[in-house]
Amino acid sequence: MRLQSILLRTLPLPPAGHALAESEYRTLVAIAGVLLPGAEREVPPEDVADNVEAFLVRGRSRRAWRIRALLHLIEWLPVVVYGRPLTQLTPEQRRELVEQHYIDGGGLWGICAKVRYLVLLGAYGDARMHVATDYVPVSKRRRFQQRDQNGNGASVTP
Amino acid sequence: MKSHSCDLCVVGSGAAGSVIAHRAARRGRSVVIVEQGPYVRAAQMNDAEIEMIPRLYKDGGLQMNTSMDMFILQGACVGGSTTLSNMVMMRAPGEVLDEWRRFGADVDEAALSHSYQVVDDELGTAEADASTFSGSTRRFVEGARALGLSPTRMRKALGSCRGCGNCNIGCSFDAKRSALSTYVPWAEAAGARVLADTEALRIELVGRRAIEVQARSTRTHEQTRIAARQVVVAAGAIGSSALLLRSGIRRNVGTRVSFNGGSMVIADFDEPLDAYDADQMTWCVQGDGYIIEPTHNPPMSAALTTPGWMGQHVAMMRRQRHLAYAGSLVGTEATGKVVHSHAWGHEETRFQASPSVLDKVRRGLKAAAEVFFAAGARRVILPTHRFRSITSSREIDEIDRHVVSTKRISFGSAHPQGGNPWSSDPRVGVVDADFAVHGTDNLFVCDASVFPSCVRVNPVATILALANCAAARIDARA
Repeated sequence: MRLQSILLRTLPLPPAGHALAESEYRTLVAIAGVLLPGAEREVPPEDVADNVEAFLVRGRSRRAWRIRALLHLIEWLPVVVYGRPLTQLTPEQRRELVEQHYIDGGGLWGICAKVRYLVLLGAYGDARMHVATDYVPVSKRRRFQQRDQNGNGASVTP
Repeated sequence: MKSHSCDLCVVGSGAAGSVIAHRAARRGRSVVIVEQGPYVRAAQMNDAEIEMIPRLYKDGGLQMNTSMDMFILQGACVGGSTTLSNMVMMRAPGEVLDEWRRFGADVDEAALSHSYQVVDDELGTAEADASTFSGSTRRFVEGARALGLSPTRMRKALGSCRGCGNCNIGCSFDAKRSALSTYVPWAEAAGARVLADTEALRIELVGRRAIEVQARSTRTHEQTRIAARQVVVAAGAIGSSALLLRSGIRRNVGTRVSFNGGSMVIADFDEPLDAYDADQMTWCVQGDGYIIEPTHNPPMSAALTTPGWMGQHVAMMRRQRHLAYAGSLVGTEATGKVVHSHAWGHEETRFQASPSVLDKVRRGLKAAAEVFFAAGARRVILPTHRFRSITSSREIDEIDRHVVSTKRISFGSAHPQGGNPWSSDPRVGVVDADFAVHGTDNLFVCDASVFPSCVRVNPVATILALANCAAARIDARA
């Protein structure tokens, strides 16, 4: 029996077709809401979490369990500071947590800080962010609208 | 259970595997290519990073070292990392080849030079086209020249590239001369068979001979056995070592892992540059121990490489039109190790950047910042997790103060190397002069994993050229 198998048995079961259990999803939504102030107009935190989940499902990574373990760490580590898990903190407390513990944090806090990458990919991988970042995808750039002589082109629109 | 038999089974369809498979198939040998990742053709690609990255990258793009302070990006799809690379065709510096020779590698410089030329000719390597230069790269080149530096226009294998800027998520135009659009289809046309979505689990050996590759569908989990007269492992650095370890071959396997590691500075200009709408990478500046490569990414990848938290990061992303990115690429020492973790059930890569590597990264970042200020940047943002910027070259020493640990900066590599070092001395090497695994007759390894030390430039040309050399040596032992 591998440590990975043991760990996976202790984690809550994700619903069929999902990469994250409901509690993990709620943690991701809670932290996304703090990490993207102002950006929620374009991509709400729930949609960030949906995008991350779709990313994990598509990637079929053997290391996806680490993401799940990370979300449990993020949920429960605040207990040592606030006596409550992340999802039970106020938005102000979550912001304070990120500012005081994540950004320059070492050890477990430094590991928690890796969630920033997940949230950013979930937000900026969403086409609704294109306007905010002044980005025009290839499929919408005028100079690529016409297919080349061989019939090739960015033919698939996301 | 499916079964196949062939003259040559090649594990991996990237730069090395595809060349070796093509050469063998062209000579009439029956060839099976086993590829862990999917076969995603150009027409199936799109410009959504969040879809393409998990489909095309190893471990869905989540691969890191064990200390979690370095991203390691590799392809896991037909064409391997070439499908995602910028196809920058740099040749290994002479001093690197000397290092390899001192380690015991049988580097025939004339044959290697010929092989570089062969692959350059086959792929149509040429200087990056001026029509594909980005606004940020143009500013970078102006700044470098203003400082008296000598920026170099990259030689690339991009075919009829029109500069869409999406090289790292696959070329939906099928213009880039990756293995996906060259050696793999050429090998198939010569009769080779590609088993995509098929993970090689282990190689079965009887005495000195590899007799079959045992594999499994990553979609259906159905087992497959490929009986072969010769087996070539070309699953890339990390992956090739992991397969040998799973096959019970341990001597020196996983040792001497190195990286072209890098970090980036970002320059903020008053005027919009719209750097995304161009080739990602076309010029570079060679420094003492580092290469500065100006680059740009679409928004998701850009967000991951842009420093800052919360409001500061959001504000930076809203200035994307004005930003110019440049990486400081440094060859590390070969101190890393690939191990098979029985506890976690997969391979792990142990590596820690040395103080010397960090020093070179800093010098590269400082040089890049100087170049951007000379080009008129209003500020340069450091790669530290906490947002830090400088507004003139007088503040450049802030980089020395703050870029002090890979745990405090964005640091990553798309060029892992080593793990199965090439040396005629079996006490230190994994493969011999013919790329055969020491102690075996018909099991070979050829890819970046055989580099005895870091090649210190973009590695794809050297992998292709070495594979061209290896193909002849493997064929001679058939």
